[in-house]
Amino acid sequence: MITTMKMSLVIAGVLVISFPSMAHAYIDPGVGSMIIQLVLAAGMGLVYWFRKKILSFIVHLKTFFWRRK
Amino acid sequence: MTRTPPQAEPGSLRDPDGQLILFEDRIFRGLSSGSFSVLSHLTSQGVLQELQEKNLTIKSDINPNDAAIMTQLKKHIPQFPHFIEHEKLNYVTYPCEWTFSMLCDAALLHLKIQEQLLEKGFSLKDASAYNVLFRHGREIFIDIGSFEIATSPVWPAYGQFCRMFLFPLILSTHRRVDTKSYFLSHMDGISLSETAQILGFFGRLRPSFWIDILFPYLFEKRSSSGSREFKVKGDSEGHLVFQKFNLRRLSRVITRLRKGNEFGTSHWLSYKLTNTYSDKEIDSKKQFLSDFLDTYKPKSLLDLGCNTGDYAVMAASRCENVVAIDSDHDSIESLYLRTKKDNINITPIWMDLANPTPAIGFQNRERKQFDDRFREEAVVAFALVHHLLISSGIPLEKIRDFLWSLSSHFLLVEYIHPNDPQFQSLIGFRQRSYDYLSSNQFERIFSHEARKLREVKITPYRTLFLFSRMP
Repeated sequence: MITTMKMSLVIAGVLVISFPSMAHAYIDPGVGSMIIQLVLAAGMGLVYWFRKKILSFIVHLKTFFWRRK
Repeated sequence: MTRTPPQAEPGSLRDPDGQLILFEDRIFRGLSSGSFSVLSHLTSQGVLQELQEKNLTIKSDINPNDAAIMTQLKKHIPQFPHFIEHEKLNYVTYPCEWTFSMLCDAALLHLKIQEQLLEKGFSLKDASAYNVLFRHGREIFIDIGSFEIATSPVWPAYGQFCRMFLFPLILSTHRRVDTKSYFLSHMDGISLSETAQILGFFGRLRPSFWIDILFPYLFEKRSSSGSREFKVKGDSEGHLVFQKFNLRRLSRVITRLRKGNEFGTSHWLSYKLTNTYSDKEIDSKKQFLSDFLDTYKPKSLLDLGCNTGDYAVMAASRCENVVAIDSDHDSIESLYLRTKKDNINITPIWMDLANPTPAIGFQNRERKQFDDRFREEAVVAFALVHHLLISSGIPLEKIRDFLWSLSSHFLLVEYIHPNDPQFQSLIGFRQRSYDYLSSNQFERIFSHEARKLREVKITPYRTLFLFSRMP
């Protein structure tokens, strides 16, 4: 269940980058401002997706250096 | 008696889902079904009430029960199926009249409201500085027709927020750009490309500008034109996390800009410390104003050339509404901060009286000019006339007409003899002679269609006059 949620989050990020622009607002959202938000949103999604792997990698590094000492 | 039919306020003409309407000296807003259902949802969830209780948004009645008024509104403005009523605020001021801190506060208010709305699945559809007004030094959001259901994974108004708030604040801090002139010439604030160009190649490389300026600028430059369809699928929870992160980040950026901009000593602030006025002179001016307030009890007062607003603060304790205007940014800034801290009923305005705010926007009707917005019972112009007369070269008769155009009843004005040291220092190398300007001549000019009520000589060269408009 959680994995599906995470997966959809990443997919959302990817989809979002593929179709950047807004249709309904009467103000100009600004192309650059929209893209940066989408990129950051996707970036955060990816960090979230690999969270466990990043954490385990850090733990792995820590234990590695701790052993060396 | 014929009633004036409901008047659509041109200030909100760009929003297809809502229109501000003036009727019977009350403020209504016509809303589309979509906008109205958003407000109904917000009310049923208690969000609107919460925002109003915290004084973040204007008090509004979404179901006014005045049947006669509603019939009239529906008859004259048939394009909107729903009408809500707003509390009427006394004064409308524009971003070109705000100081740095006022713009910061208006920006932070937007972020605060957007964050609260997001929690409940709603969002602000625009982020215009014109959606904020100030009441007694407190910023208040007026356009509750801007609330919509959050459908986008990102904040569509983020670009406008940057143009209206973030870029002017950044350019004012880092390049000393005069934001006033930008707001006068651009209804939508400062554009991204203009901001990036003003900062220059190395300026925009500063790491704190990467997210808001550098990368969006690069994307914008490289993006090809052409139609784009925007379809978003996926999990909204992830988007919410990002949006909240972005809002908090923006709020930190603005708070930091504000802290870094605490003002130093400007000409007029130091003027307050080093001018040639004696305490006795200031006391007699205060006494004159105090006597006037006690005797005539005006409801509203306009202090022109208020400096840091000492007389305005004094008047505020005895008048319902006080407006204080000065052309010096830092003086108005310090008055605004004081007003905010002590909750004083003053509306501070940063404006040059020799060049007041013009009407701007589509057909010059969206934003009203200065003298269409302000007309108070009493106008105070202490130590002002000689500045307009000498520095700006405006004839005395025109100054008189201008001052009277802002007053409905009283005018308190200070006469300064050409031999006064302040007068002399203003003349400088100017060749013009002001010898004709005797006290009698001054009085004669100002008595045109007015009656002198009082005259007090406070120094050999200075006299205070109180005039009343002829009935």
